[in-house]
Amino acid sequence: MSPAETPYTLPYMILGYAAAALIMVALVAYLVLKARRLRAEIEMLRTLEAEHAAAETSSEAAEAPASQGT
Amino acid sequence: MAVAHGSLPLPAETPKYAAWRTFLLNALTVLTVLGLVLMLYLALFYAGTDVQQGDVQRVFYIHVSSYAGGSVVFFITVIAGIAYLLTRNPKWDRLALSTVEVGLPLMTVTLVTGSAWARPIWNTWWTADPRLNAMAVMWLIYAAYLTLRGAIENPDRRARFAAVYGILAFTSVVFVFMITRIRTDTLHPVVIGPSPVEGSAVGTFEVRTDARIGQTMSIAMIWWCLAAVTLLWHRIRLENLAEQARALKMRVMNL
Repeated sequence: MSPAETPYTLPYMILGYAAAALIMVALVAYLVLKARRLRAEIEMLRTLEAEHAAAETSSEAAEAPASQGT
Repeated sequence: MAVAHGSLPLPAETPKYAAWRTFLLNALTVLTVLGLVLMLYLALFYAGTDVQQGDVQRVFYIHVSSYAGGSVVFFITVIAGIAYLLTRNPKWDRLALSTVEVGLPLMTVTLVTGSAWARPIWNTWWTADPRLNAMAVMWLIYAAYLTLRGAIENPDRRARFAAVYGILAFTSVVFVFMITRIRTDTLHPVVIGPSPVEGSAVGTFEVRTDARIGQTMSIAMIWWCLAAVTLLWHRIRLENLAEQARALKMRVMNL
């Protein structure tokens, strides 16, 4: 077969590469977005934990002089 | 950092060890991105155009090699499954889940690019061919893995089931690879190795005729395996992060 008979199939090649790129980008985006959401969640939970610990310390400090007085 | 999995603590790691692992992952990610550029250059410009098929033959560099990458990842599912059944350590279950979540998109790339190639060569997007059907069944088996996992609430039962399922599911990967080498009634070409079909089916190309095609295919195979491992590592880190969040949530709820 001579090169002149080579079919023009470039659009299908572009379609294949574009579809593959789309799938891979979707996978990477899923990983990035999920990591971001989890980090935000961990940050929020740590803040909650720290706030609770601070509140407990202050309530203990407030209770200490009262118990000394009785 | 020590992270809990339910009541089971994860092994603690020193900050130095964690920093080294992060550096290694970052280096691997950079290497994967650079490898992508090289692979695309080779596939689109370096390798010659197939005389019979035209430019669509270049789809083979991602179609075949994404299957190779997916197969490597699914083989790790088998290793993780066996390791879980032997040790009952939940880290192996997390690894198995990560492998399927990474392997399935890779196999989707194989399916979609195959369809894009088949349209101009076979004049159809899809046909009832043994290889195509086997590939679709394999894809569904792994998709079902994720669905079925979500349906089991008990963590131990879920992990045990997933381990056995992941091991058995790999037979479908082997079957997809072997079917064009066993069956003579398939249209699908055997890209690597001898074909049982005399004279080859429509749409085959001879790797041996152009060394650049073989070189590009080899680099593409290596790249997809590298990309699979890099993505898997990122996915495992994500799973560890999710575990950390779950443990923290339990602690905050018990305050």
